[in-house]
Amino acid sequence: MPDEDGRLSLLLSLADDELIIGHRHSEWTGWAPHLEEDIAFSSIGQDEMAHARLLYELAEPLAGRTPDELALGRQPKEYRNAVICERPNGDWGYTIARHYLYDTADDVRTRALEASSWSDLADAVKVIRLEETYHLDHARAWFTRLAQGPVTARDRLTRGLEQAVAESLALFEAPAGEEALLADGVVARSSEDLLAEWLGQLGSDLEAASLDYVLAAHAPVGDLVPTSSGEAEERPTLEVPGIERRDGRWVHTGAFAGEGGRRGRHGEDFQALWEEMTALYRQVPGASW
Amino acid sequence: MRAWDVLQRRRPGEEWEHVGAVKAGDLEMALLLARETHFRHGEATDYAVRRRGDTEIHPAGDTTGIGGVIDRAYRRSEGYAGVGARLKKVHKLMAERGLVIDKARPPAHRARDGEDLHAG
Amino acid sequence: MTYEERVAAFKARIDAGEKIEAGQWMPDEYRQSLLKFIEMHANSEVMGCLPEREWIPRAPSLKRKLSLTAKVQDEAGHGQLLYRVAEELGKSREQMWDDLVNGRTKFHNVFHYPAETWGDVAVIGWLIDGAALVTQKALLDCSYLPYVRVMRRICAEESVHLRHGEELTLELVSGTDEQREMFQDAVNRWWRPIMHFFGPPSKPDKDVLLYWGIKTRSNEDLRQEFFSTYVPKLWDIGIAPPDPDLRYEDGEWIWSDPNWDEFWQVVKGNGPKTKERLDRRKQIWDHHAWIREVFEGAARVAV
Repeated sequence: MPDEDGRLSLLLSLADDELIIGHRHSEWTGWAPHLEEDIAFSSIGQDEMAHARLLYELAEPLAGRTPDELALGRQPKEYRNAVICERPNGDWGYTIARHYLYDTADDVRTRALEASSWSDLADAVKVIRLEETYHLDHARAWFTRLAQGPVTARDRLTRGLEQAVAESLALFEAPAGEEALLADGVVARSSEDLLAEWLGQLGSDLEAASLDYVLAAHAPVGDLVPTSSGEAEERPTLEVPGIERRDGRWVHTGAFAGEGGRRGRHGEDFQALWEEMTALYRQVPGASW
Repeated sequence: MRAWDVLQRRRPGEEWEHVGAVKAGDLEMALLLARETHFRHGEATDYAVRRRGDTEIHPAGDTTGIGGVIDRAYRRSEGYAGVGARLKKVHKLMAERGLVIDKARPPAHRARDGEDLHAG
Repeated sequence: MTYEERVAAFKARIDAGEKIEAGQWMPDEYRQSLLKFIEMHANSEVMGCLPEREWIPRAPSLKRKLSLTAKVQDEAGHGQLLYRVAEELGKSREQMWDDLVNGRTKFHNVFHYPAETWGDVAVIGWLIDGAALVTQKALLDCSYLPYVRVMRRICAEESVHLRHGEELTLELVSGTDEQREMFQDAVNRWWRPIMHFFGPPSKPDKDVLLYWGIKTRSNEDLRQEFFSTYVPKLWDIGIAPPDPDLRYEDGEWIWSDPNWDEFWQVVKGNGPKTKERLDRRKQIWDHHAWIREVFEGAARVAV
């Protein structure tokens, strides 16, 4: 699909994130570990999928494809979601960790998009943010209760965060054509800038819960390491992931874990998800359901 | 795990009306869960919870986005307003194709489904 | 008043059409019958989520992905409402859930079966929900008011589900040949479980639930209403139920007696999907005991 237009790339990145994470959230519907939570989380999943639909509608004239064609009719390498979204739900600990990381990140990027020079997008984002308030409240409430809860609960959250945090940075992997969008004011702030803001905030939140060691575990191994001779030996910097603490703040350096989602690079998890999600749509092409 | 009674009212100053309950560990969770359990279809915007056995009522306060902001027709009756007419059209289509099964049936049976039970 | 006298007076009130409110005195047999009935209903709602929810990840359009999720969400919501009513009658939800996932209590036969195709989703959404709505509307006349109040809300939501199911059906029958076939095939597979759903023709004078006004209509009466509502519509859209004897004659529907052995096996817990679904529920329930600890306010970690 031709993608010279940075606006299309931006829309698909956002929409695909929302669709895929909404898809994952909705996999808990009917199975969640607490009945009222099943209902609440199902609303959150529906919201995300409805947001995706709204963004696909904006993308339709640019892509020349309907929202359903975009959501269900592309090949895996055409989806622009960050890979964190496609990971299976695991248990509730991972689910909450990812929900928390995703929705805090989404809050940072959508707040910036409210200032977009593209008024259709700004308007869509404003509506989306009205619904996202609940998602954030929900995620924070669970995060706090697990972090401050009994040992097992805290442990489950920590494990979830350890698994999810590295790949969640790639939510801020820039979509193709971001330079032009910055020049136009379609995006007011670069992805790298937004990542810095989110990571700083995340670092504070985790420190407050004494969970910042989750970030420390991901520090790059390219630091100088003294050898037995006493000389410092430089080791090759690992590409991924790059989080380190500088001047009292957590910052991103280097590449991204799970990089490439925004360019259509997905793995087995996405392949399995895509096959399930699109099989019936593709089985009877053009059918009305 | 405590039960929390869930209350709603249409306008400030009106009496609170009991609509159900939720099970939650604390007040904040009770308010979060009550919102979707009892008000996701736009039943009310002003709600509160009260811990079972207590007298104090805790209003939800800011209820931005309750009941959904984006079009939710897919989960409301107005989203399906045309279905009855559609059935008639499909019947006609099937008749044209000679597919209708023409067997004896009860006289002028008025289906009771589709009644608006909110009025009941 | 002796206990027997109180019971007789209570029964007289029921027979006179009076309703019972929460917290009022009730005979032990009434309470137990009511609790068991509502518990089974609640179980059925949450187990009823499971056939259709298999198609949420596979829904063939964004609209259906959303609407199917919302519908299943509502079923969970109905379970939540019904467990609440049952709890008031003296059994905790935790205990009811534990009994359900460990196979000690029952749920309706139809939710022990798989949803094999999108045609099944349409059949479940229209015909099964239709069957359920017939029985649920009858429960609006139940003698116990807290249940009646919840049933009003459930029936209102189910009416939307019904229209949704009807819409799915109409798309299939007026769509491609493959889609029509998909729907007819699903009807063929689901017809017997639907017949079973209403239960065997009961003997009204031996029916405890009818005695106490918990149920107000017989199984056969409800099944007849289902036939009258849905069979003409099926015929009108060119779909034939797979019962060659099904016909309307002399003011009633004649239908083939289905194999009731299958019904009894299924409700005892030997349905095609019973074990798999309960095992998964149990696994999630047991694994997430730590969440219940959080909600119980178990000892917090000092941070």
